[in-house]
Amino acid sequence: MIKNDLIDRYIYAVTKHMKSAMKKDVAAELETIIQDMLEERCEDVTPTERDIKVVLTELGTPNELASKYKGETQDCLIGQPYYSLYVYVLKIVTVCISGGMLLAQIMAALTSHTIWYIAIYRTIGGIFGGILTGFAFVTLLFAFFYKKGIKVDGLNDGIDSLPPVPQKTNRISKANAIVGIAFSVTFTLVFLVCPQILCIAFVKNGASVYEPLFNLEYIRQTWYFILAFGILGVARESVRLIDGSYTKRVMLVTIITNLIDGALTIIWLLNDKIMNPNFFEGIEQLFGENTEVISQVFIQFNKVFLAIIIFALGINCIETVIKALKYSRK
Amino acid sequence: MNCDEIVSGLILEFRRGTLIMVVLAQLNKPMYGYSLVKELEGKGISIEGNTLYPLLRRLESQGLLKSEWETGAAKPRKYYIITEDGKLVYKKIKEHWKKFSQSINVLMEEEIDDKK
Repeated sequence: MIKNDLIDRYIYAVTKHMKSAMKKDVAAELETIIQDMLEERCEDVTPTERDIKVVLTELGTPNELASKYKGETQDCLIGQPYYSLYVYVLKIVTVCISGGMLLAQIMAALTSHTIWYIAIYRTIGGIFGGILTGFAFVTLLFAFFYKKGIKVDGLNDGIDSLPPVPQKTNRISKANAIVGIAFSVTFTLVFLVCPQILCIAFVKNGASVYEPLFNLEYIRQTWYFILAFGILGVARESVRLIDGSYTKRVMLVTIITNLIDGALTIIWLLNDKIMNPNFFEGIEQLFGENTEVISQVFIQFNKVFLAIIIFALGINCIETVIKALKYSRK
Repeated sequence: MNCDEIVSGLILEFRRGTLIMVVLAQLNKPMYGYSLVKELEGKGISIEGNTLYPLLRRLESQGLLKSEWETGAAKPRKYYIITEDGKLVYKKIKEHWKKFSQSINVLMEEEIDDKK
């Protein structure tokens, strides 16, 4: 059996979007077919890289072959190679929107004292509307890409530009990237739709009072910062999801997005307007007058929050750079 | 009008329609994908691997073929063979093909006679 990186990459590209049971079987069958074709072409001579390319070209591009295995035709709204990526993106968008909207609606309902059945109705309506919007947006986008034949990252199809087969050590798990996207979407939705949910509840003059942690007016005025954080987070995690391993592109995107993210976070958090002054009154009401330490922590909350974010961005950057450089050398 | 393009499109349609029949006809004995390509080539029917291998899998999922991995040899191979359902389907389409091609032949001969 001839072992060759190009053959491995070709088989990986054909089977990467297949279900796991089918993937294994098709990969094994393709392997023997390619070996048979090479043996016939080269007989007793060891095949060269060119022989392998000729044989693989004869089999067709990975996406062509993959779509034939799936029995797809081209008379459709979104065909291969876009369809696999479309389904993939749609799943992520649906999960993110459902999770984010559910959380946002529950929190909004809890803090706005809405009657329970109206809250449920709004939650279901919000999730359904969100999913429908996401579905329409992604579908239209991919239908446009397909009709116009626009090149999208992750759709390399030539024999010469096959992506490498990710090794276990340098692989970025899909779950991690999806959790990252879900976190970014949730953060954006919570801060844009219902920033009041981050609050403290206490009783004042016999009535329940909800005092938000942040200055809601400032949060509303700086909506573009929140949107930028969301977009940067989704962009960073999407590249990780598409590449699936610590590539140089992942490294570059992580450095750029984290730098912008860090700079924007400093501007956004490091000022006197971000915190709600009434929140500290709530802390005193809740914990009593002797809770100086707790009050101090909350007074400095924006700085503590900033330090945590900068630390997390820094660690993420260093880890990505080290892994990308280490594996690219191999 | 691009005549060559139209003709090659029609030939492609013919081949697509008859390919399943051709494959079922050959798989009375177990064969692996590449050997089937070669066997058909030897009989004057050239078929591209990237069309045949997915087709074999599709016929298998429809229950017309069954497969088995042969791992005893130096190279593991997946052998396909026709099932009872496959034989039944083949018998019916073969009958239909014979009648249909006979009618087409009659039609063509009538056309030649008219020209004379």
